[in-house]
Amino acid sequence: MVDQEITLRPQKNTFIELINAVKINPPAVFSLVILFIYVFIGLFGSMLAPYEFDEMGVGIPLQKPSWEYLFGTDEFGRDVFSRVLAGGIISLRIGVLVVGIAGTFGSLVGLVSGYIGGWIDESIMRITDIFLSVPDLVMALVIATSLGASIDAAIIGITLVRWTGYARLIRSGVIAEKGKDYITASRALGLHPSRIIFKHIFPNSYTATLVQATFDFGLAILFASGLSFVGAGAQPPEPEWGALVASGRQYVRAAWWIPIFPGFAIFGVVLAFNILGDTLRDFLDPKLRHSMDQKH
Amino acid sequence: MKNFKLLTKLFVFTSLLSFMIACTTTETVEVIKEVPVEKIVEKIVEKEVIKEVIKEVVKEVIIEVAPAPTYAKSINVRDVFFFTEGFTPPRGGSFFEHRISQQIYEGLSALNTPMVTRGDSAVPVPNLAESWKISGDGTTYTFKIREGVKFTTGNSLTGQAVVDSLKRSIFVIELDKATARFSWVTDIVSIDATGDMEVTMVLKNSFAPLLAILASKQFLIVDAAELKKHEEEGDWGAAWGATNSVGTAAFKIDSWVPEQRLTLKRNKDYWGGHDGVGPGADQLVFSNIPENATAELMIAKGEVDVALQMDPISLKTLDLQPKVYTFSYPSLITCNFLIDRRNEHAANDEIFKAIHMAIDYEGLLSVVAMGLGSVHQSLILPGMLGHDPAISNQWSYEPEKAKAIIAEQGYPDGFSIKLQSRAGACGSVVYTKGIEFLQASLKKAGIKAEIVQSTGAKFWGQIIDGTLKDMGISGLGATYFDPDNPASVRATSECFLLGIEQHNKTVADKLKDLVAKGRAETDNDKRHTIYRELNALMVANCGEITVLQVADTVALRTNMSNGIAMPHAFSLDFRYLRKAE
Amino acid sequence: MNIGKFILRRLSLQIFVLIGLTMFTFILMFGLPGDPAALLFSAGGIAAGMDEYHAFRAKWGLDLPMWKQYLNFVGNLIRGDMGTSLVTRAPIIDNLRAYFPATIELAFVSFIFATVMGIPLGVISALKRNSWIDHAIRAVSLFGVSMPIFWLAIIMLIIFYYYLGIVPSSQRIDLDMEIPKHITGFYLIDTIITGYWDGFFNAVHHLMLPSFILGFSVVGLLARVTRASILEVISQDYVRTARSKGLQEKTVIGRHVMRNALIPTITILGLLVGGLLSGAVLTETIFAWPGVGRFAVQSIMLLDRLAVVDVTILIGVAFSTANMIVDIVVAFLDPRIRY
Repeated sequence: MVDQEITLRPQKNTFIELINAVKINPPAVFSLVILFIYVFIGLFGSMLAPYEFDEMGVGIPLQKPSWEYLFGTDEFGRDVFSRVLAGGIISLRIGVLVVGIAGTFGSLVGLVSGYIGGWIDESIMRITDIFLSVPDLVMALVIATSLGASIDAAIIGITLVRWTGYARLIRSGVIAEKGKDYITASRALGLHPSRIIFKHIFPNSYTATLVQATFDFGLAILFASGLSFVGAGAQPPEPEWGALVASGRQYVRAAWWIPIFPGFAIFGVVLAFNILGDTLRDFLDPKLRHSMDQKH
Repeated sequence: MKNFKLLTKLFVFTSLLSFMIACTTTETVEVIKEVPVEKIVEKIVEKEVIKEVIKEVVKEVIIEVAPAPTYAKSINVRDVFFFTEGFTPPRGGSFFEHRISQQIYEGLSALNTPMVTRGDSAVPVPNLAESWKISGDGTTYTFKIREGVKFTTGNSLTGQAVVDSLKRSIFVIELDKATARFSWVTDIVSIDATGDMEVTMVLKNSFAPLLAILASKQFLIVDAAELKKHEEEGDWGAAWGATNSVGTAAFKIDSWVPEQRLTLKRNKDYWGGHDGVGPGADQLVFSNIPENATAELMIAKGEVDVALQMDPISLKTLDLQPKVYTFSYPSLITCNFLIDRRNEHAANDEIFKAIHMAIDYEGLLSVVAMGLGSVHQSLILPGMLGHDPAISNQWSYEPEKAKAIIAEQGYPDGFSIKLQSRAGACGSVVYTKGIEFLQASLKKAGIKAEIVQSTGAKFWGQIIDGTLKDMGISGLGATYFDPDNPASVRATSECFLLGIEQHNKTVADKLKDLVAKGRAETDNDKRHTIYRELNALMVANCGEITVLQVADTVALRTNMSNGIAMPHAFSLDFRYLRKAE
Repeated sequence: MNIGKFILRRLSLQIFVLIGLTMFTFILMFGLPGDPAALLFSAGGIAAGMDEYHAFRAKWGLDLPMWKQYLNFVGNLIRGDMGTSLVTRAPIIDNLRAYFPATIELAFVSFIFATVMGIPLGVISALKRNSWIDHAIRAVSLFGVSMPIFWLAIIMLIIFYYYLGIVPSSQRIDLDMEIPKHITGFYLIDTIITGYWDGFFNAVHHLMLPSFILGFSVVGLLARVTRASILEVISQDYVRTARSKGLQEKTVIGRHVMRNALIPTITILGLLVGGLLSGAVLTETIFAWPGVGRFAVQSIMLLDRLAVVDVTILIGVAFSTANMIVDIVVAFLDPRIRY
């Protein structure tokens, strides 16, 4: 009975297994809680904020954290807590856009490249080589400044350096899958290539991509903060967390709360994505999963 | 394995602990306590007190500073380096280059720096020239060169050496295509050595700022003959001059590692300077510490003796440190907001006025500049001819009135404008913060300002093309202490790029006329009147709205004394500085 | 396997990639809005007239069409001339020669640190999987990956320099110590060559905090990959066979598991270099490290376009070379890979 269930509806079973895997894994629970809070803040942060994030003089400048101003006030007398909350949506947007665009575009390129092969594959791979030939942050820095330092420029810059990862992942998955019998059979049946790609090949090579996307979400936020720090990303008055840390770092001794809290926000979220990515990968990688179950 | 567990625990524990300590023990700056929001402005810093302190320091210095009997071994200075073309005049325009050049080279004339700091009229005093005579029509300058002065190369300073040096400067300026900034150099008829120790300079027209300019970086005296010997590919010895100095001043370059360290050594044959003060240390070590937070820790720990260019907040924090004291002095840098007068809104004189009223000058000073500096709304700085407090402080923040004017002019709901923000700073005012604050203060006057990110290249590119649609920010430093400096830079150039000619031709012509007149006039009283008029016209019409005269900041260890500002070099005059060891 | 042929193919690919890279960065930089000449002329106020402005542009070739500027650039590059900086008016190669070794030295020491930390942590983590020690190691190593490196650097500086006073604050050598004579530009090498031992130990001391922070930012990646590959190998049949043969656990792990698990770890080392070079860009400012990262950022801000292109290419060359070496090493080690 149970065996039948598995063959018929593998997805549901995977999901339940995932839940079970998470249950016995405290770090994963922790990361999910953080991410839930994070998404919640991202979506409703501005409503929760006790003050307008850009309202100057809501408090006396450079006040210590207190019940009234949870994270203290900054040099303009703005509420740091409200600013951190307002930064949530920005970082959420960065993550979603970077992972969404880079993931979709990269995957499509990888599918096409891997499936068609030949000179198209070769030239696409050489283009990814060019992007991969420079450390990604350096490349993102050059791209973002050339587009005029701003959040959008940072998003484009990070997206442009991250899509190659997906393209290569999917491509290798496709190539591995392509030679298998069931694909040859589908071809022989005269199925349209796009149908073969999306119905058969993609579902079998997306797991690695999913893991990659989880890591990349955190990475995008980290990169964006780095770009803000060197002046190529978000700039004041945008309450992007990296920009808050960067512009507040002069106050680290005079008013530690200005740079420390946004720094913790970045740290917490990126850490959560990393833990989640780790857990997912362990779980989705059949070999590792096997080893996880194995009692030593 | 047990050890490892222990180590992990220990690591986690100690890092958490030290982090907690770091967070809880940071000195907190109580900038203000219990003040209504509207009053933030006045209370943030007792800037009057600071000014008094400076005056005191300066007075003492004039009495006390004497040639150092013993020399401190070394003084470590925190600085922020800038890509540099070397310190050999006339090249290089960054503050860093000015600062260093003024320590290793001297001009025919000099500014009495303690006097400039005090805001006294700064008449150039003789330096390498012992005295000078100016002909009645102001076209012929005869300099008597000081006897017994030697270059650090060993050569003696003679009339011919001075001529060679000046000619070299002029030639390089023309070569670099920067002549318009020094348009008067084309008016020079001749520079000749008319005796062993005499130099005569003949100009086509009289030119009043000359003596002040001769004290500025571009015309400091170098050993041109020595430089010529080390010329490479027609660079006038600039490459060699980057690591060697050929001046007469109190210090000479010992070694120069770009981006890292510049070591200056005491010039043992120094003649003593115009005021007879020589250096107090055998060497000055300038280290490039670009990050303010790092520099703050370093001076607090005593790793550096002097820290230049500190962020205002660091001054406040460092003041609480027992072994550090700080001060600031009025810099020759002003902060300006720029708007093109051809713009829809700025073209309307009434709205232009309203924009002036919509800027919170006091707030900008106290919040953004942390009270270091002063509100200053005109191009001519205190201490220069033509300065008039009535002109420089005519606007105050009146958002309601501004709103009313804007409504009267057909914008009952106000209007929208974009503010271009970019990286950079005018003195202690970081551009992004200045723009942020401007946005908030315009908002109260009903002007909805949206901040857009820009770059210096984009911003200035738009200004040069005359396509600037937004409001922007800039800082401008005067490099020679004469009203002609801000006047020639702004009234004839920037103001025109901001569309003054298209807006009001009469005013534009008048400005050009006044700049020319001010240059040619030799009588100081008449010059004062001319520049006063020019200043008033500029404030009323030019798209460049000056808001602050910022302050340069210095932090010193308590064993350091006699830190005297050298405003036109954007630093201290390191000759005066004394270190108790 | 014909390793010679493989290396040749890898090299030719490299050249192709570099050509593409120059073109890409050049288009990016020269497609920038704004005008470097305008920026330069604004320093100290725009007082120059339009004639001088245009003469300046002509003198520096800024008025040529982009493709012409690109051809000039490539032509010069082939002749070994990387161009002249608009800002310093000195050959860019001189700047790079001065700054690049600083970055490489920092990255190299961080690399050693990351490897020495990361691989053992990964191994322990895998062998003790799902124990609290595994969780702890993964958490700590993830800390490094997740923290904004510049933020961490400031906090560490306050703790270890200001409060504890056990590391120097900034720069490559103490302010009152003589800077080693420039031979290679690597302080650790130069001081040894000149026998300047005080300088050597001081330079090592100065490298500690920045390289710890930089290395810490990638330790997590390395530990993660090492752990995963060991877990993968452990579950392989031959390991079970070895165990069932009754071999000692030590021998099984040492001989069978480690050797095979090492290959993916080595593969990731190349990528690690990228992470370190990226991190260097962010930490050099805080530690006043006179490296190429700060040079790049400053050049970008001043729109010194040629300098930016040159730096990017140089970093690209360094990074791709590291990856190429890794590829070749892996090709030697792994009998399965055939090219």
